[in-house]
Amino acid sequence: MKNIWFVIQREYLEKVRNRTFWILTLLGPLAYVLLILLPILLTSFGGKERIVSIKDINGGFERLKDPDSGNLYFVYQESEINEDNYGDFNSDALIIIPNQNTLNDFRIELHSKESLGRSNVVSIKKILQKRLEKLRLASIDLDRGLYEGVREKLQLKELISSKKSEASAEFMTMFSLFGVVFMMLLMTLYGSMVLKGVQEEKKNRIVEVLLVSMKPFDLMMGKILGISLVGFTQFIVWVLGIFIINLFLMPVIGLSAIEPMSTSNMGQTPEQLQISIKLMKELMEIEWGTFLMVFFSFFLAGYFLYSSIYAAIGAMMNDDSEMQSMMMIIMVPIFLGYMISFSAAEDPNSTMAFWSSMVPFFSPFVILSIWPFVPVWQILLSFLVLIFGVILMVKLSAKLYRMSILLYGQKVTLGRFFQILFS
Amino acid sequence: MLEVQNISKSYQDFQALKGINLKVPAQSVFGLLGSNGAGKTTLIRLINQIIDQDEGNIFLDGQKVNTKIVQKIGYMPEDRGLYPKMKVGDQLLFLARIKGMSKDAAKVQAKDWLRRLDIEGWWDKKVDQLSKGMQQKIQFISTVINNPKLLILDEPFTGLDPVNTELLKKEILKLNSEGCTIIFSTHRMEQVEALCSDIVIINDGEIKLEGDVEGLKHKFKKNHFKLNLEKEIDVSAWPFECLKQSSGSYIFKLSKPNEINDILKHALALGCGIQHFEEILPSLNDIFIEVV
Repeated sequence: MKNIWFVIQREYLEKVRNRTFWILTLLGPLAYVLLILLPILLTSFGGKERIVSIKDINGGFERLKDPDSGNLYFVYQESEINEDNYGDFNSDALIIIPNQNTLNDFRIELHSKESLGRSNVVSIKKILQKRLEKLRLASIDLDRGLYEGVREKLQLKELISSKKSEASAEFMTMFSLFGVVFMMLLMTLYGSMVLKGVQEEKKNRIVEVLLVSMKPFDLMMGKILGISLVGFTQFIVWVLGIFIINLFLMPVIGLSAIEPMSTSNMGQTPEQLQISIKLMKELMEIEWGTFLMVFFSFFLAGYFLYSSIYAAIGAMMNDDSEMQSMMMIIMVPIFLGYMISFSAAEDPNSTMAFWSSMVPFFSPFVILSIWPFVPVWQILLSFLVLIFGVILMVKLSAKLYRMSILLYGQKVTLGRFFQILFS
Repeated sequence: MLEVQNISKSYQDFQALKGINLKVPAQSVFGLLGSNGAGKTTLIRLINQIIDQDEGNIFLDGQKVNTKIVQKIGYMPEDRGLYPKMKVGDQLLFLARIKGMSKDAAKVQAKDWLRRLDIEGWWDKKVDQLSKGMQQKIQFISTVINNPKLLILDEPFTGLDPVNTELLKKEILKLNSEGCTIIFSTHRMEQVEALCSDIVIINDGEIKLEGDVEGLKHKFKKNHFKLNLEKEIDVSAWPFECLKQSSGSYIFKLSKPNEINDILKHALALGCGIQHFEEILPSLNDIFIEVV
C-alpha cells in the first residue's frame, strides 16, 4: 500500500510540475473568458463609426431608431443625394427607400463602398422590417397591440413529477448532454495519459527496476490514482478560475454572469440578454449537489474502468503504431456510450435507456444524460453494476498488465490476448 | 547466502529454465554466465520475484524469498531504465523510498553516493540531460542506495569509458569487501576473470558448469606449459609435443604431469638458462566456448 502512495506522489508531482500541464489547465478559464468576452469586445470595440444616410422618397421611414450596435448612425437626407454622390454628404452608406405604390413586395436598396458587416446589415434589416410591419398594420387599420397578441409565442413548460430539478426539462437535457461530452473528453484525455505513462515505463525499461520493489497491481493502481488526482486538480483550477472570473472580472468589465447589467455597455441586443438571463436562471435552478454527486461518482468509476483497460493495453504494446491502433479499439465503447446517451436523452424512460444504463461500459455516459428523469433506484442500481464491472475489469487488466509488461518484441495477437486473459 | 533449489520456468511452450540448483556463497563475487537466451535474465527475474517460478524455491540467508526479503536485493538490469524527465535527486529518492527507506535516510545515502562517484552537482539535473554513461552511474546508485545484502549486476560496465569502468569496479569491490555478495552477469570474460571468485555457466536453461574460477581453470587445463630460454635451441628431438616456438619461447603439451621436471632437465642439460616457466591455464573465454 505504501508503494501505491509513492507512485501516486510521483505521477502527480511529475505531471503537476510540468509547464505544459499548467498551460493546458489555464487554457480552460482562458477559453471561458474568451467565450464570454470576445463577442462583447468585438462588438464594443471592433467596429468604426459609420454614417448611414437615408433617402426616403415617399416618407414613412422617418425617425428610425439607431441600431443597438453603437457604431451606426442614421441621417436623413432630403437633398439630391444618390448612390453615386453619398460620399460627398459624409456618408458611409445610403439607404434608398423608393417610391412604391404598394407595401407588398417592398424593396429597399442599401449602397455602400465597403461592407458594413453582417451584424450591422442584420440590424438595419430588422429596424426597417419593424417599420414596414407598422406601415402595413396602419394600412389595414389593425391595432398593433392586437397583432402582437395574436403573434405571441406559445410557452410549453414540461413538468415532470420525478424530475430532480426546477430547471426546464429541455434545459436539463441540454445541460446533461453537455456533461456527457465533457465526461467523454476527460475520460479519453486522462485514459491516454495512463496509457502513455505505462508505455513510457515499458519503453525506457524502468518497469523492471520498479517491479523488484512493488507488485504490478500496485504500480498500475498508483498510476491510475495519481493521474486521477492530476485530473481533479485540473478540474478544481477550472472551477475556481471560472468562479474568480465571475466574481471579480465580470463586474470590472461591466458584466455579471448572474445578473446582467444594462444593454448599452455590453453590446448585446435585448434578445441576447434575455437568453442570457434565462440561461443563468435555469443554471441556478439545477440541483447542483445531486448533479455533482452523479457526475463525480460515475465519472470516477468510469475512469477506473477505462483507464485500467488503457493501462493493460499500454503494457501489451511494443511500439507507437500498435498503440495507436489499439487506442482506436478502446474508443469504440466510449463512442458507443456517448452515442447511446444521446438516444437515451430523447426518451429517458425507454427500455433501451434502462438497459444501456446497466452496461458498465456505457452507464457513466447514459446515466449522466438521463439522471434528472429516472428514479433514484435506477441510478443506484446502475452504479452498483458499474462498480462490479470496475472491480472485474481492474482485475482482468491487472492480469494483462502483469503478464505483458515484461514482454518485449512480441506482437500481441488476439489469440495471445485471450491466452493471457484465461491463463 | 543465496540458494536456488530446483527452479523451473516455462513461457507458453518454451522451457526457459529446467530444474536449476545453485548456491551462491556469502560475500563472493559470483559470475552468472551464458549465451544469449540461455535463461540468465529469467533466473535473475525469478530471484528478484519479478516473475513467479513454475517449480522450486529460492532462499536468501535461509529464508524463502518473498516481497519483504527481496528488498535486501539490489538489481541493476541490463536494459537501463530511468524516468527521462525526472530530476536525478527526485528519481533517487523515489527509487529508494519504494525500497522501504525513509526520506531522510534516502537523501543522506543518495548525496553520499553522488559524492563518491564524483557527480555531486547533478542533483537537480534531469536524466535526459545526462549522457548514457552518466545515467549508468545514477542507475548504479539507485541499485545500491539501500545497502543491499545481495547485488545483482547485469552488464554493469556497458557504455562506460575506461576511467568510469575502473571507478565503478572499485566501488563494487569495496561493497564486496564490506560484506555484500555480488552476482555479476556479463559476456565480458576478462571482467569476470578480474572480479569473480565463482562462476556458473547456463545454457539452454540448464547449468552446464559451476565452481570457483581457479578450480575450473585447473579442471579444464590442457597440460600446456610455457618455457622461455636465454637462447634459441632445437627441441625437435625432445620427447615432448611442442605446440609453438618463437625466439626462445616454447609451448609444450605434456601427456603426464611428472614430465614437468623432464622438460626442465632437458633444458638445463643443454646449458640453456631458463628465464621463465609456467603452466598455461585456460581463460574463462576458452572454457565458456568449450562448454557452450
